[in-house]
Amino acid sequence: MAAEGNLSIDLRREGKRVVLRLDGELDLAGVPQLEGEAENAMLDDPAEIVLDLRGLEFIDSTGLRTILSLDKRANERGQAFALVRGPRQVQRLMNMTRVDEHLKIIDSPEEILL
Amino acid sequence: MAESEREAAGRADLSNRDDSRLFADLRRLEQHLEAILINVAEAITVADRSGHMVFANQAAAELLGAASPGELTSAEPGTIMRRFLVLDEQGHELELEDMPGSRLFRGEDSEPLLVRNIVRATNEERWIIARSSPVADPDTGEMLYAVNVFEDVTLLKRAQLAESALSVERAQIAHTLQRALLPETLPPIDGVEIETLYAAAGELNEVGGDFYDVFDYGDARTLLVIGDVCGKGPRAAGVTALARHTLRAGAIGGQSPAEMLATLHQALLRQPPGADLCTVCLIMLVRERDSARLTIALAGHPPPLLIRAGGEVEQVGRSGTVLGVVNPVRIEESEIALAAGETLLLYTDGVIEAGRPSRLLGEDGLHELCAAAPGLPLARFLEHIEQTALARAQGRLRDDIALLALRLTA
Repeated sequence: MAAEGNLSIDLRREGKRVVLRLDGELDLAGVPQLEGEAENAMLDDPAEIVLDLRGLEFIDSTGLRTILSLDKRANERGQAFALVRGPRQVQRLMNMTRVDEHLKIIDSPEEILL
Repeated sequence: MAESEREAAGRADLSNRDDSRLFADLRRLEQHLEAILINVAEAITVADRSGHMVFANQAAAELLGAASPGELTSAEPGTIMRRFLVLDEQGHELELEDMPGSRLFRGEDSEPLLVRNIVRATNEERWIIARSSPVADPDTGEMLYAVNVFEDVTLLKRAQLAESALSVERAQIAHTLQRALLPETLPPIDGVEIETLYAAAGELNEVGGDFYDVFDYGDARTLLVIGDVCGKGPRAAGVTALARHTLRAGAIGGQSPAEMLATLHQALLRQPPGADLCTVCLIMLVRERDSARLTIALAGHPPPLLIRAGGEVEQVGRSGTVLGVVNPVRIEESEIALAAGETLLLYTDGVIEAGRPSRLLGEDGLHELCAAAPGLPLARFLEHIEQTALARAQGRLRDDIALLALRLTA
């Protein structure tokens, strides 16, 4: 568990899948931490990367931008990328910006991606 | 000589020999200590109650502008200090009795003192931290000497002063840049009252990404813009300028709101390295006889709020894709009518995020504030929102706030 500012990230490897569970607030202060953890996760070349947003209390546009760039990088490496649906405020931003149409959003981290 | 006398003489002799060995040891120790003190990098002096220096090392001689330590120890008390103008941090002149050593002799506390030493003859300046500690007579406890250690912090202090001058300059640049990104004055529009408010978060030296604009077509049409560029600093400022001017160019070229946003999206995608996310709310207002027709286009931006004359609040506009990151963007225009007595509020998400996480204003909080709009002058209404957001954030906004409100005039 890495904690910095108001974000904590828990990285869990389950075979070919990596799940990053985000708790707290994902804003400008938390972005470098997410970038770092996700970079670590991607280095092992997992087939699937899941960001579990259920514990995320807040996300802003910088957090959203980071998630979109992680999605892009995963796609470029041929890795599947998905989000586990977050609470209302998190989902509201996804809907308002209509990025939910561009990201794979699942309801539980166990859901099959491939 | 009796046995006992011989023994006594022997003991005395032995004790003399002990004494002289002890004395020699002490002398050697003293020489070692002096050699150490002479050579330490910090300037050290030892002064008695009169202020006379009984010891000074080489570094002290250099710092105090003497040819040798001997010049310091042979000087009359106070004469060395008179070579300098000694000032405290606030620029007040200090005397020998203000120095830590003198304070110790008066039985006062002696905190380390930062002084600015200016050589009167040459105007050469040094910043020095002076520290003193007492040496007392072990038998009587009376204070005999003050040991003064002077640390030259000139380089550190100069770097500090340069840094603070630089940060003032940075804040001024940011302020100028921020003003350049927002219209200095709003064009007067016949029959429409418009008010705006901008509150920057955090440090003054960061340029924020919120922006607004009002563009008068010179006929019955007016374009209203509010937007938010992701991030802060020079890069966000550049993208903000790009957004504002691309939209203006689109307006001049006769584009519809959705077309203007599509053009801005293409412009953002062509920015290296292509991850500049931007949200915009665009409204084309067309004045009619007793009302106005509004065409609203949203790109990832919170929907504007329409406040009825009775205080009821509703969101208007349809969600559209945020600009600059994903393809394709989907933007749908919607049309509403604005009647006399109604207020329209455009805002950036810094408002509803104020006070997070525990004292979040939120959409609900903003809607409640809007119920008061019909009874308030427009400028007062915006101040009311800003003050509530600031109070929620306990004076420290974590994101910028931009507000734009309009109302038809009677």
